[in-house]
Amino acid sequence: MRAFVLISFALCVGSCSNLGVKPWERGTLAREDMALDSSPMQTAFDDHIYFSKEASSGGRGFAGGGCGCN
Amino acid sequence: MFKRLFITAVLLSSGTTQAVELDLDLHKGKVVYVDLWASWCPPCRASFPWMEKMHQELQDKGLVILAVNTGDEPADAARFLEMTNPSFKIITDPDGDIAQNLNATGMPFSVLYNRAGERVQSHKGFNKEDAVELRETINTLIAEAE
Repeated sequence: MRAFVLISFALCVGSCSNLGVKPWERGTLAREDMALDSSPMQTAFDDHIYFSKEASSGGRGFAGGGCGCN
Repeated sequence: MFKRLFITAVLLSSGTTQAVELDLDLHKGKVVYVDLWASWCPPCRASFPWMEKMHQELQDKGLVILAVNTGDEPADAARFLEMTNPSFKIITDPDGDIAQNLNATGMPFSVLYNRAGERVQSHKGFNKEDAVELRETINTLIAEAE
């Protein structure tokens, strides 16, 4: 049992040795259809509806506060 | 002694396998500027007019520019090259073997070798300030033991 745990641990640690995307592999991530917001116009419409109904906007991005105070 | 950098990248396009070599011994005694680029990378594209200018102005003084297309779709790269039509040498490295060997940390990534074949400088990114600094370094290297 101990050997099994140790081998499993070693395999888990080993699988973390090569994480991340290399700079030259970012071509796929740079594709338009890989963007988090793949349809900016649809997002703008949704924002407008949200603003009309809630009288607040923002809060989509991590950078903004999204406090709904404007 | 000219340090030999011999890298073989495998080009897998249209079902054929073609070995591509970046062999600095071919450019012994010259200043070599190796640039890693991809068509999906805006700063890489922005560096092409500058590299073309450098090539036109300094190739007779001993500058060799090797632009390595890495991690790119062959069709996208071909389309970009058709538009820009560069006169310097283009090398294809679709699997990033050359980039890995050069320890690239970003795109574009350039490496400068002096006339002795020593790796003098590595540079990540490209903008107007970089262009000025790189040109100064290249001029200094060209002037060495000319």
